[in-house]
Amino acid sequence: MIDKEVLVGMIRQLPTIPQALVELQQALAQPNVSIEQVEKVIRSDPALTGNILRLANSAAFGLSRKVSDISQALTLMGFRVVNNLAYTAAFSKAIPEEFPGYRLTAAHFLRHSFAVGVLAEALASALNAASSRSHFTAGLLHDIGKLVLGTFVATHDTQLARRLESEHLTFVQVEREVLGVDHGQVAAWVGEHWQLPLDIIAAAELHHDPDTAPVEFQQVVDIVHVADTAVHCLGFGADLGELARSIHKGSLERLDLGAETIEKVVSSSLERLTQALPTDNRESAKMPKRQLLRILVVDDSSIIRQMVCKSLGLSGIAPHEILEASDGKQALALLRERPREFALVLADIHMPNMSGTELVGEMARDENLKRIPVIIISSDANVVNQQRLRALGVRALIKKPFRPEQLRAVVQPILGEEVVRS
Amino acid sequence: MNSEQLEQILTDTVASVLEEAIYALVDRNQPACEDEIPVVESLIAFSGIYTGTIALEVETSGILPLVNDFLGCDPEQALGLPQSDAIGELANIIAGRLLETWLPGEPNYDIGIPKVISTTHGQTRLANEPRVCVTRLRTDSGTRVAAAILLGVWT
Repeated sequence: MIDKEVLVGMIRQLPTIPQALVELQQALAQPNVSIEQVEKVIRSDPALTGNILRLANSAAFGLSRKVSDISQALTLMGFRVVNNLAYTAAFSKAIPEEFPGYRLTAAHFLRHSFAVGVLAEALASALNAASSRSHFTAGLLHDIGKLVLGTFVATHDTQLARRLESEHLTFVQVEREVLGVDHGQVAAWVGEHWQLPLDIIAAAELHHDPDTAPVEFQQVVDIVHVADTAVHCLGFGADLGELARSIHKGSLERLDLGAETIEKVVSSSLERLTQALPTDNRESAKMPKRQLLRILVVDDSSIIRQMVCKSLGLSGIAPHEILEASDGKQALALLRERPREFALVLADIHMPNMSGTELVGEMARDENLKRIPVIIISSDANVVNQQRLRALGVRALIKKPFRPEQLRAVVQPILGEEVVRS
Repeated sequence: MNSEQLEQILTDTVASVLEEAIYALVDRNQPACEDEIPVVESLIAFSGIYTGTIALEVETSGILPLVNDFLGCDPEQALGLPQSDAIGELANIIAGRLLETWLPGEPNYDIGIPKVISTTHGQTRLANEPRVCVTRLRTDSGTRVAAAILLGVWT
């Protein structure tokens, strides 16, 4: 368990939010603020001014012409976007070089935070949410707790991994159990230290527990929760702690949000999400690359192999490498060639040359392969077959036809364990 | 279980699999097709307390939209795929679910690998045979689908 005083001490050592940013919030809160007044506030901080202009001219904000001063940026982009730029500029300066505990680079972290901001703003706009100005900022800052907690996650790595392996807990639950605090709670303390608006603090604190949000901040918390989960599914900066995630049913109901709207918002934001970030010069090449896990899909039907691969993609498993084999024999050859590289096997039962049951048996007898988790996807409902497969160590049986969310519910926790193991 | 009950199980199974796997709504109890139409047929052998074959026939002209819906892909993508594979897989799913419903809790059965053929003389046309149970349906996109349980060893 971490002593709260230690955490508070670390929070005090974080770079402070520029005074100009605090004053900018106060200025923008006035109903009839003029461009001149806002410009004056921003120009009082030359570093912030420079960073806003650099961001305004980056591909991520997609202006068709070059912006050379704050007044021009305000005219072309409006108060809301410039405020977003100011937060992004200030936030990027507070990010440490590495997040060893979460196995994230600064570049990945910023990319993820920015993507959640963009998507939260787009969702808010699609839902006609009030005050969509703060949704980008709430999304951008949702993981600020990790700025502090990452160090402790790194030092408790073994304990966290053991808890994740032994029970089907989310990483946030394991953070609470092992560290006595999760990154949402720490985010609230960081937010208070930075004097952030209360809705932004609420979104950072409760984005993993949207059902517990106070009613006045419910919408922004739900929106950030949905945006965060969707961004993880898209593979933007997915980290160790966030693999086993799904959108809370309560958030979807409260926002009256269907899959179609999410898909529409995501696809319309995708171009912006994939634009160049991070915003600083700490090149990601220096950082260790996130390890890709290999998944082997074994089925004699190419249609089913495609369906499984597509479902894995829809489930946010796409960043991992997916290989295919058309029968057990081919699968075994692939596995034996590079036994340490595979994190998961998804196999059918009835296949020519070597069945799924025989493949699982061979793997169980092979010292190098028996650690690889196997999930069976089959239409065979024979109870004896199922018992035999379970006895051989098969982790789960999925019945055809299956839906992507069924596959995700089973696959993601297993991959989470494999990330920890690797 | 009499033959009417078995036919009901077969019809319900095929309808539910088509609904779940390709999101098709189906009209049941369709008349037998008098003309010989090209079909793709998938046959799966099963053995246990009963031995036989489960057959699924889909009219050839309806296969491409069916593959689109099965995979949730664009028509251009579906064109590049082995479409008969989809019929084999549907038959596989139907066979698994049918045996589970027909013989609940029965551990001693096994099912084989689907064999897919293109023909105009499908096995389901043997409807007058006493050992055959047939169901005919039509999807909401108009594709004719037939399925049969052929008891005994068929060649």
